[in-house]
Amino acid sequence: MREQFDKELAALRQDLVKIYAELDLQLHEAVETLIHEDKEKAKKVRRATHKIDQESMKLEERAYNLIVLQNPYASDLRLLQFIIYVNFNIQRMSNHVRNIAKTTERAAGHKVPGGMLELLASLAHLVYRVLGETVRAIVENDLNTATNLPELDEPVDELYRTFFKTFSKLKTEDDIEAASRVMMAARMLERISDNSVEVGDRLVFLLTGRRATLDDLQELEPEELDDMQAAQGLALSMGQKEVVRAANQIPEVELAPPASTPQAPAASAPTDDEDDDDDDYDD
Amino acid sequence: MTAYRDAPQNEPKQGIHVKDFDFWYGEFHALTGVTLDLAQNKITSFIGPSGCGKSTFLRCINRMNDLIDGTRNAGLMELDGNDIYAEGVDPVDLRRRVGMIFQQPNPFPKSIYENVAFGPRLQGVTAKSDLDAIVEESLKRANLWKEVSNQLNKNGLALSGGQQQRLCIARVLAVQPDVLLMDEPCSAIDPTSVQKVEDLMAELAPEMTIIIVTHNMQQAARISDYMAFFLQEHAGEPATLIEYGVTSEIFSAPQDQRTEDYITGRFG
Repeated sequence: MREQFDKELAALRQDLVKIYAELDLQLHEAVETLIHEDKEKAKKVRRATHKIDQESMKLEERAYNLIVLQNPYASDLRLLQFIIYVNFNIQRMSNHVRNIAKTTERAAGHKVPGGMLELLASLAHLVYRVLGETVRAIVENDLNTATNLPELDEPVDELYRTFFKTFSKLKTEDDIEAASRVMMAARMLERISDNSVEVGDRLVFLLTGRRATLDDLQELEPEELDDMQAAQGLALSMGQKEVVRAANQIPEVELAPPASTPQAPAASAPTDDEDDDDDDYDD
Repeated sequence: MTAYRDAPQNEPKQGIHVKDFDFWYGEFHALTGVTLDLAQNKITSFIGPSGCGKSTFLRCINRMNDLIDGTRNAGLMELDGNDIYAEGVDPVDLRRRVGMIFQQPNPFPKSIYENVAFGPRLQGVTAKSDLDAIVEESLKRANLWKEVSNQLNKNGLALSGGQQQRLCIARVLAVQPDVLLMDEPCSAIDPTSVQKVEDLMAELAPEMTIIIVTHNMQQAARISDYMAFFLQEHAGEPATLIEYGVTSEIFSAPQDQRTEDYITGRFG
C-alpha cells in the first residue's frame, strides 16, 4: 500500500505542475490576444481556463481521497495540504487569465491610448518570470528559489503603479473605456503574480513544516535555509527524475468527458453562449 | 542524539525526570541514553516499532521490571525529585503512585466492588461507608458506574472486555495515583470501548500524568499532547529515544528522518 501511495503522491505532484504549466501557457496566450486584438483566440483561452478549472478540481478530489484513505502524516500530509492550497490558487489565477481574455473581447476594435498595451506586455513578461520561478521551486523543492519570489514580484507592483500615472495623463479625446479595460487586465496580472508568490509561501511549510512566509526568510543564508528543512518523505525527496519515473509507472487513464453529474455543476464547461451572456468580470 | 521539539521541562523536584537512562535484561542492553521530562497532567504517547523498548521504558517508571530476574539500570529516574531506584524506595508504594493498565484487562476473579476496594483496603481503609464512597467515586471517574451500579457483586470477569478494562482503570484510580501508565490499553478491546477509554483518558489528564504505549498512530495523534518515538536501529544494539515533543508538531513535521519514515509507514 505504501508503494502505491508513493506513486499516487508522485502522480499528484506531477499533475499539479502540469496544470501550473498549462496556466502559464494560457496566460501567454491571453496577453497575446489582447495585444493583437484576437477575439477568436480569446474565446479559446477562456475555454482552456475552464478546462484548467476542471482538471484542478479533479486533482483536489484525488488529494482529499488520499487524506481519507491513507491517514497521511508528516511530509505526506504536508504535501497533500500543499497540493490542495496550490490548487485553490491555480483556480484563482485561472479566473484572472479568463478575465484578461474577456478584456480582449471587449477592448478589440478600440484604440487603446498612451502606450498602455506596450506597458501591459512588459508587465506580463515580469509576471511570467514569477510563474516560471514558482514552478521551478516546486519541481526542485528549492527554498532558495522560492525566497527570490517576493523580489521578482516587486517590479510587477512598481510597473502596475505606472498604469495609474499613464491613466491620469490621458486626454479627453482618448478612449477612456479601452484604457480602463487594459487597466483591469494589468490588475489581473498583478494579482496572478501575488497568487504565485503565495504558493511560494506554502512551499515553506511543505519543506520546513514551519508556518513562515517567504518574507520571513529573506535575511537567511542558503545554508540556514537548508538547515530549516524538515525530514522528507520519498514523495518529496526522490527528485524530479524519480517523480517522473514513478509517475510513468502509473497506467495512463483516459480522462472522463466534462462532468455532467448534478453534484458538480461548476465542473462542467459553460458553452460559449452562456459565457457570452456573462458581461461582468469574475472576481 | 534525540531531537526535542518543544519538549516539556518540569519544575525542579516535580513530575518525572529522566536523564541518561539505560536498561539491561541480563546481558542484553535494551535501552540507552534516554533523557526526558514527562509532561505533568498531560497525555504522552510512546510510539515505535515492536522491540524498540517503549514498553520496557514504561515499566521502568513503576519498577515493574524489578520482577524480572537479572534486570538492571543506570542513569537517573526521578519522581517529584526522588530517585525511583534509590535504596529504601518501596516498589509497592511507588506502584500506588504510578498505576498501570495492561493490554489485556486483568480484573481479579472477585466482585466488581472487591476489585475496586482491594487497593484502599491494603492501604488500611476499613470503614464500609468509606469504601463504598471510594468504589462509587472510582467507578464514576472510570465512566463505568452507570453500567454496573446495580450489580456491584457481579464477578469482574463477567463484564465485557471494554468494561473490564475500565474496571481495571477504576481499580487504579481508587488508590489515587499521580501517574497512570497504559501499555497498549486499547489493543484488545472493541472500537466502542476504545472510544470510551480515550474519552476517559482525556477526562483524567487534567489531574494526572498519563503515559500510553500504542501501536495505533491515529490514537497517538488523537489523544496525546506529547509524543516520544523510540527505535532500535540495529539488531543487537540498544534502542533509544529518537524524537520527543509536541504531538501535533511531530506528526506534521518530524525533525528526524527516522521518525518521518516510521510515522509515514515506511517501516515498522
